Amino acid sequence: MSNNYIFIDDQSDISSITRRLSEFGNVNITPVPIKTFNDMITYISTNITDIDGVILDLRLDEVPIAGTQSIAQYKAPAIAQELRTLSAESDPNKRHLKDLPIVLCSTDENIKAIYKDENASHNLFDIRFLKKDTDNFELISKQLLCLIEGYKVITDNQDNMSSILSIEESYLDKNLISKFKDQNRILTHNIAQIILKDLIFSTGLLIDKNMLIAKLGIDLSVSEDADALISNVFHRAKYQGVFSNGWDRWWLPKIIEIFKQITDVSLVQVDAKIRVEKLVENTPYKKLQVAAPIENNLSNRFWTYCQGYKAETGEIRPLDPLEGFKIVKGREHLSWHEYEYISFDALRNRLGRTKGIKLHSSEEERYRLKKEAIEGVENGGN
Amino acid sequence: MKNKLTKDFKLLVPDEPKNISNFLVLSDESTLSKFKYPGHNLDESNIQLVKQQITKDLKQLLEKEPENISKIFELSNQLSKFDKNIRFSVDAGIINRLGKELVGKRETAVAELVKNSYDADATIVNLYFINTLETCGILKVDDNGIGMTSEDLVNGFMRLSSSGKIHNPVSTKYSREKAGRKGIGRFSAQRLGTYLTIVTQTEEDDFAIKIEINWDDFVSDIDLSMIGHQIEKIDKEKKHGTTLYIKNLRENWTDAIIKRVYRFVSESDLLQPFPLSKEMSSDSIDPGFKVYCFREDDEFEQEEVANDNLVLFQHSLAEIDAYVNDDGYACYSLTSDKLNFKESDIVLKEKKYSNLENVNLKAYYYIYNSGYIPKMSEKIILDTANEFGGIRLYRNGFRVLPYAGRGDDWLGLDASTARRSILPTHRNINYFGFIEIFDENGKYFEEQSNREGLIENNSFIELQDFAYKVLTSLAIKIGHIRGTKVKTNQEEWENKKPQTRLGDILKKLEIIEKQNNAISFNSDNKQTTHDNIEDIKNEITKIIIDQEKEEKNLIDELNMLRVLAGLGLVIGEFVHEIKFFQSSFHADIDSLIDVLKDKELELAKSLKNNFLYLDTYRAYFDSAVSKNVERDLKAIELRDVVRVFIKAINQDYKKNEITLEKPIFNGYDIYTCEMHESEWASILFNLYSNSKKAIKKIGAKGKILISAGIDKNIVYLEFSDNGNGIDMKNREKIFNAFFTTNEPSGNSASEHEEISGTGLGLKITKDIVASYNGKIYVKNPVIGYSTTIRIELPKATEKEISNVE
Amino acid sequence: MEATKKAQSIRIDTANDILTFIQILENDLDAIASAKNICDILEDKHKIPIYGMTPANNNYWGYETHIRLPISKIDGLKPISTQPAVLEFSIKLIADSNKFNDQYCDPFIYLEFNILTIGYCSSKEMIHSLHLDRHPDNSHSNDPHPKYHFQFGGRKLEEKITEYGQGMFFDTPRMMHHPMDFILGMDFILSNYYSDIWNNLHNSNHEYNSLIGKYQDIVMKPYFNSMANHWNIRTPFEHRDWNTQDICPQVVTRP
Repeated sequence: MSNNYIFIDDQSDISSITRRLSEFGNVNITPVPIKTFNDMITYISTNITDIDGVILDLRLDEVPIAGTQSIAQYKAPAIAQELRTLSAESDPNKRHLKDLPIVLCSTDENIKAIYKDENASHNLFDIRFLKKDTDNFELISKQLLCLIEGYKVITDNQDNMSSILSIEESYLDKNLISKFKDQNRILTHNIAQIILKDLIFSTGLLIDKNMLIAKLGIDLSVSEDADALISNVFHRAKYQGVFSNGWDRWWLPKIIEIFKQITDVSLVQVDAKIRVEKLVENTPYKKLQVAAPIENNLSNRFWTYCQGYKAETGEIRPLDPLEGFKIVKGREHLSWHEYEYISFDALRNRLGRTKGIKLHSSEEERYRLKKEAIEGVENGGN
Repeated sequence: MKNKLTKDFKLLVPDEPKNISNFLVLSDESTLSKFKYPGHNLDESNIQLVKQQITKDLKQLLEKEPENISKIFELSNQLSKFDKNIRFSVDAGIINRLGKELVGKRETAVAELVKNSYDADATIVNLYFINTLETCGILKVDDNGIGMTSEDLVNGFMRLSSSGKIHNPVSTKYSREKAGRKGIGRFSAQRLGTYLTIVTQTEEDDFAIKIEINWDDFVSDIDLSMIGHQIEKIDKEKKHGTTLYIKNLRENWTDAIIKRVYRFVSESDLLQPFPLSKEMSSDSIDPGFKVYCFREDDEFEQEEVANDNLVLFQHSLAEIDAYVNDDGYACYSLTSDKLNFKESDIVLKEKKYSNLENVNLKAYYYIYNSGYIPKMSEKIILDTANEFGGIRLYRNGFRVLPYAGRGDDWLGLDASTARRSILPTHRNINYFGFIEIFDENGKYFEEQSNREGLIENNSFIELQDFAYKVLTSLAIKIGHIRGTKVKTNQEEWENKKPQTRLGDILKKLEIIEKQNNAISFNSDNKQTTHDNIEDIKNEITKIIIDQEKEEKNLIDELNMLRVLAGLGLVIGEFVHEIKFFQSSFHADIDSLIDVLKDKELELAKSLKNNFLYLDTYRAYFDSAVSKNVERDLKAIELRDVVRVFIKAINQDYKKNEITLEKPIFNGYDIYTCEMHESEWASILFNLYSNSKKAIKKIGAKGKILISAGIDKNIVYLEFSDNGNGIDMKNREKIFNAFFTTNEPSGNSASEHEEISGTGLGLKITKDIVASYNGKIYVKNPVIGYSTTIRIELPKATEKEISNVE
Repeated sequence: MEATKKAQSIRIDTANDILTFIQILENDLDAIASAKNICDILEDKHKIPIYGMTPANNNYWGYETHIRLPISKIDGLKPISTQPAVLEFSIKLIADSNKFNDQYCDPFIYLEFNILTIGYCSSKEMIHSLHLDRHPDNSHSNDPHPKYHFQFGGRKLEEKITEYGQGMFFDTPRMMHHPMDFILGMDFILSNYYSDIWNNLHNSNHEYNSLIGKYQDIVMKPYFNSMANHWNIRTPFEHRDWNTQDICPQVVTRP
C-alpha cells in the first residue's frame, strides 16, 4: 500500500512541505503544480488509481500557472466540490471517481476566518491544517494516513454502523443513528464527515483526553497517576472505530459505565471530590487530586472545562456547566453534543477573547446580571 | 444751620400762624408717597381752639427751649394738620418696605454700598465681615472716597430720592459715571442689618461726623419725619472717606457668599481689573477702583476672602507688560510664577511701529481646563472672562468702546485661534488686559464721529499688530514652556499665514479707498496712500517668495511621507510574503533535526529557535499591517492588546534575558476611546524598545511590567522597566523628536543602531496618544522599577463598548 | 414595573436552567418543548406575577405552563383494556426572590401543580388526576392542611367525570409532600411514568443530575430541614422560619 496524496498548490516550491510530511513513513505526498481547472480535474481522474487522497492549498490563485502569465481562476473549494460531485455520480454513463479524503491546507493563521465565509465548502474537506504547523507534521501525517484507511473501512462496511464505529448501537444517540440510516443514499465521504465532525471533533458521545480529565474532576498538573489511570482503567472506553488512529477519543457512556463498575457510584451523580476519592479508593492509582473550582465559582460538579483558560493559557480548568456560560460554537449543535463553556472569571478577564472565543448571545443577560452582582459584592466590601 | 432754622421758625410762628405750608417746607420737603387725611374730626370752633393752643405751645417752646427741635418739629407738624391745604405725609414703616422691595438679594445690597463708594471717587473699598458666620454680625464698609460733609449727609444720605445723581451724573474728582442706583444705598444698609453707623470725613474738614440710625425705630404709624437722628462731630479716622458700620446683620455671611458678593461687584463693571500703570497717575486720572473682602472672627485675626488679586490674578498663568520703545519696536517682559519663568525686556525686532508712541499693554494670561486654575475658581474666572475678557483700550485715561466689549474681537484673537496657525490658545477669554495710549493732541488716533471707536488708520492697524504680536508671543512662549506643539509652521512662527497677510493688505486697500473718497484729500493723505501702496507691494512680493518656499517645503515633506508610506507598504508586503517560506524553512529544519547528531543537531535546533523568533515577529506585524488596512476605529480593551503583544515578543524578551512580569489589570472592561488597533502595536513596541535599550545599559537581568486599569474617566497603561532610568531633567524631553539619551553613534555603529538611536519611537507614541487627547509622561517609577511611563487615554463610552462587545 | 435586580438574576438563572433541562429531555420527549414558554415569561422582566389580591410586588417571580406528553404504558392500569393516551402536566408557581434559595424558608408563595392522565377504554375517555397544592397562608379550615399536600382527584377530576362506575370518590386525605418546581415535577413524572427515560438520564446524564440536584437543594432541602429541626436534629441553621406544624399538621409540639 502506497497511501499516496497529491498536494495541489500554486506556490512553486512546496517540496519541503511534502517531503517533510512524507518522511514519517505514513503517507507519500506528491506536489502537483497548479493547472487550469479542467486540466486539474482531468489530471486527477486520469491518475485516480494512484491517488488515495488530495491536499489542497486554500489559495490557488496567487501565483501564475507555470509557463503562463495567468493565474488560476479558482480556489480549493471549487476542486473539492467537483471531486465530491464526481464521486456521487450514479449514472454509469458518466465519469465517476472513487471517494477519497480531501484535506485543506493553508498558509494563513486565520484560516478559520476565511473558511467561515465559504459556508458551502464547510462539508467538502475532511480535515484542515496549517502549513506552518510543522511541529505537528508527524501527527498530521498520521491523520492523513488514517483518513485513507478510514475511507476504505467505510466503503467496505457502508451499512454496518457498529462495525464502522466499533461500538454497539445501544450506546448511540437515536438521532445519530438516524443520520446514518434514514438517508436514501449515503456516500463514503458523508459518513466520514459525520464521524469526523459530529463525533470526533465534537464533545458529546466521544470526548478527548482534556474533557475526560475534566469530567473525572482531576487536576492534571498535580496528579501524576492521571495518565496511567486513563490508559489502564478506562482503556475499554477508548474509541476504536474509523479514524481512531489519528485522534484519541473515549466513549462517554462507556466511561460512565466503567466508573460505575469500579466505584459503585454514578459518575454523573456525585461531585468531583467524591469522584476522585472513589477512584483513589478503588484503583491502584493514588496520586490523583481533585481540581479546585475557578475563582468566583463554587461548584465542583465539574462536567466540562473552561474554554477561555484553554485558549489563553492552555490550562484545563474543570467547570460545572451550570456555573459557566455558553460560548458560540463553530459547529452545528446536535442532540448528542455538549455545549462549550467559559467561566465567569475567564469571561471577565477576557481570556481567549483574541482567540475568537465569544459569549453565546443567549447568555449575555445572565452574564451581565452576574457581573453586577459580583461587582456589587466587590465594591460593597470596601 | 440749626440756629438759622430755629430763628426762621421764631419769625414765622408769631407773624404768620396760618402759614402752615411754610412750616412744613422748612421741616420736610420730601416728595411723599403716602398721604393722610387730617386726623381730627372736630367742628370748626374746636379746631380753632386746638390750633391756637398748639400755636401757643409752639411759641413758648421756641422761646424757652429753642434747642428742642424734635418737639418744635412735632408741634409744627401737628399744626400743619389744620391747614386747609392737604399734603402727603409719610409713614415711617415705608423705610422697611422700600428696603425689602428695592433691594432683593443681600449681595445686591452690598454691591450698592460699594457703588456708592465708587461714586464718591474711592479707589479702595474694604469690606470687613466681622463675626458673620452667625447672624447678628457686623459689616464694615470702609472707603477712601471724598467723604461727606454734614450738609451732604443731610441733603444726600438722609434725604429720600435726593437728586444728587441727577444733578451730578459724573463724580467730582475722577469724573466717574455714577454707578449707584438712585438712593438705594441707605435701603441697602437697612436691608443688611438693623443698625447703621456712618462715620465720614472730607479732606477739607478737620473733623469727622457720625450718625447712627436704628432701623427698628422706623415702625409703622409714626410719621417718617418724626424720627430724628443725632449727628455727632468726632475726631477724624482718616484723611477722607466714609465708613459704614452695619450692625446686627440679618443674615450670616460665609466665605462662599462673600465671594459671590465680590463676583457681583466685579460683574457690575466698576472694577478695572488692575490699576493702570504708574506713569499716568496724575490726580485727575482715575487710578482705578478696588474692592477687598475680609472676614474677621473672634478666633481669627483677619482673613482676606476675596479681592481681584485673589479671585482673578493669582490664578493667571502669566503676566505680560509691553510697550513700544523709542526705536519703534515692541518690547515686553513676561512673568509666570506657575511655570517658574521670567523674561524681561525682550524686543521683537521684526516689525517697526512708526506710527505708535506712548503705548503700554498689560495683560494676564489664563489657560483653562489644564489644571492651572483650581476648579473652584475656574468657573468664576471663566464666567468673568466670557464677560470681561480681552484687551480693553484706554485712550487718554478713558475707555474706548467697543474694544473688548462683549463679542468684540478687535485684535483678531478669536479668529486667529480658530485658524490654528498658532496652536496655543489665545482667545479673548484667555486674557484680561488693557492697552493705554496717550495721544492728547490726537496726533495718531482719531475717534469716530459716532463715538464708536477709533478710525482705522495706520496707527490703529499698527496698534492691532503690536497687541496681536505681543499677546501671541506670550501664548507661544507659554506653549513652549508647557511643551505643547506651538505652531503649525514652527520655524517661521512670526510670519502669519498668507490668508492673514492678504487680509491685512485688504484692510490697507480699504483705507486707501476711504481716503480717496474723503473730501479733504490733502498732501498728508497722499503721502499715506503712497506709503501704503509701497507696503502692499513689498508685502505681496514677500508673500510670493514665502509661498514658493513653503511649497517647496511641503513638497519635500510630501515626498518624505510618500517614501515612508511606500516603504511601509513594501514592508507590509514583505512580512506577508515571507510567510510562504516560513513553513518550508521549518519543514527543512525539522528534517535536519531528525537526521543530524551531536554538534550539528545543536546547530539545527538553534536555527529552529531563531526562526521561531522571526515567526512571532512576522505574525505580529502581519496582523498589525492587515489590521491597519481596516479604517474603522474601535474601542480597544487593553487586556487584549497587551496579551497579544506579550505573546508576539515572547521569543525576543527570552533571548534578551528579560523577565516580562505577568501584566496587572486593575478593573474590568478597560476600554480606550475608539482607536486603530494597530496603533497599540506601535505604542507597545516603542515602549518595549525603549525599555530594552535602558535595560541593556545596566547590564543586569532586565524586568518589565505592564499594568493597565481604569481611573475615573480615563484608562491608563503603565510600562515599567528596571533599566538605567530617566533623569529628572529629561523627563519631558524624551518624547521630543530626535531626543535620545543614547550615546551619539560612532562610525562603527550599525545602521540599525543609528535608526534606533534617533529617539523617534517615543515621539511617535506621544503623537498617537496626543491625537486622542491622551497624555503620556514619565511618572515616579513603581516600586522595584526605575522607569515608569504612563499613558492616559479617554475611557470608551458605553456606546463605543457595546459596538465591540 | 420591572423585576428587582435580585429577582432578575434568579429569573435569568432559572430560565437558563429550565431551557437546558428541556433540551436534555427534548431528545426523548419532544413534546416537552412547549414548556419553553416558561423561559419567555422569566426573561421578560416586566412580567411580574400577581398573587391573589395582593398588590404587584417586583420581588415576586413565577411561571406557568401546560404540557401534553404522549404516554403509552402505565403500570398496573385498570380497567385493563384502557389505552393510555396523554399525560397533561400543568404548573403555576410564584416565589419571592428574597426567600427563594434560602436554606430555611418556604421557597414558594403559591403553587398549583396538576397531573392529569387521560386514556381511552372502549371509546370512552378515562381520567386520573393528581394535584399538589400549597395551602394558602392565613386561610382557616377545619381540615388539616399540610402546607404542601398531594391529593387524588381535585377540581380537574370533578369537572370531567360524569360516570363513576364502581369507583368511589371522596376527598382523599391530604398527604404531605415536599414542594416541586417544574424541574422536580418533571423528574417526578419521568420517574413514575417514563422510567426508561428516567433511568437512562439518571445513570448517564451529568447535566440532568446536576440540575435535579440544584433544585432539590433549593426547593426540597428547606422542607426537610424544617422537619429535621423539629426533632432537634442538628441542622446548619438556627432559625425556624418554616414551622414544622405548617408542613405536617399532625406533629405534636413538645417542650
